[in-house]
Amino acid sequence: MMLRTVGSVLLLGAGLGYAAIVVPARHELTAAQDGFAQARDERQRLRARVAELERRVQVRARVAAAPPESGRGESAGRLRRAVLSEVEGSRVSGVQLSVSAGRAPVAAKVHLILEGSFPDVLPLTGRLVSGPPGLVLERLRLSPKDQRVVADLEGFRMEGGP
Amino acid sequence: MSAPDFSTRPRAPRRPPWELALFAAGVLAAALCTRAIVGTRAEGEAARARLAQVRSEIESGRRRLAELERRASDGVTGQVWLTAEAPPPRVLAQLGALLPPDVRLDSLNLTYGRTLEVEMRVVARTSGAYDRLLERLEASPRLKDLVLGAESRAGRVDTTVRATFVPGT
Repeated sequence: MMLRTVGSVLLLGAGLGYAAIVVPARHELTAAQDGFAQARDERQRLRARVAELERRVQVRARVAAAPPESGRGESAGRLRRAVLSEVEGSRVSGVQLSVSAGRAPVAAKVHLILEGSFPDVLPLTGRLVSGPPGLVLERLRLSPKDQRVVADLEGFRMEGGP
Repeated sequence: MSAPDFSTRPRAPRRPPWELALFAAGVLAAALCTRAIVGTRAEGEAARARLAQVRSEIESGRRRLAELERRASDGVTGQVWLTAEAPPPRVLAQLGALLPPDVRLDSLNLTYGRTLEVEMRVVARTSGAYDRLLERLEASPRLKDLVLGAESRAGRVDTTVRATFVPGT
């Protein structure tokens, strides 16, 4: 009789314990695991966005790291000379250049139009941004003209630029 | 006197097997239930701890993101970065690699801002060639947000395609 009672109570208690404790705990566990998966995805997206912005800010800081120039007029003159130096070393024609002083953090702005063969014009645009002019581009338009290419470029140099 | 041949003590009644089985089942069920409770609670605590850790990382990531967005919102940071990461020769090389043989790039506009917007005037010898171009542009990780200009399906296709260029190698 005693054994039968103890067995029945244990069985009943186990069933009740499972229903009252284990089942809700499993639901909570599933919810926590789902929340973890979503949070992990969000963390991944945030990390990617942060990494991209860090790269942007680092490049910006690198460009602005050089000591400031003495005057805005001088900045425009230096930029003009640097651009002309690159342009005159290339086989291009129809050059129209205007340079103006900029407002901080822009040291000077440039608008350049030129034409030439594609193999001459394209590398020149690369040298204008990676070479001594250190231009930051705002807009570049490449359009055909007869058998040549016309490049219409607008850009600027940052204060502290090369 | 010798001992009697048979015990005179009353014999304990023999337990029926189902009673023993019931007891054994009860003990087993209680043990399994206890184990399930302990295991589930431990798993739950570990999962909640992991979740709290990731949420804390998300919070600090958001703060860092807000700080970086504030620093990058000066209007020129995006242009500086895009000019460094996507100078015209690199953009042209990557776009050129996407052009099928029967398609040529007639003109190109690059606008450097927070993003690099590309506007291409393309001329395809046939509408099939233009379809192949679009398949390549859509599949390219370098381009997103494609906007296609009007096209004629009869013979040569001469149209404009706009997209946002995503720098990368």
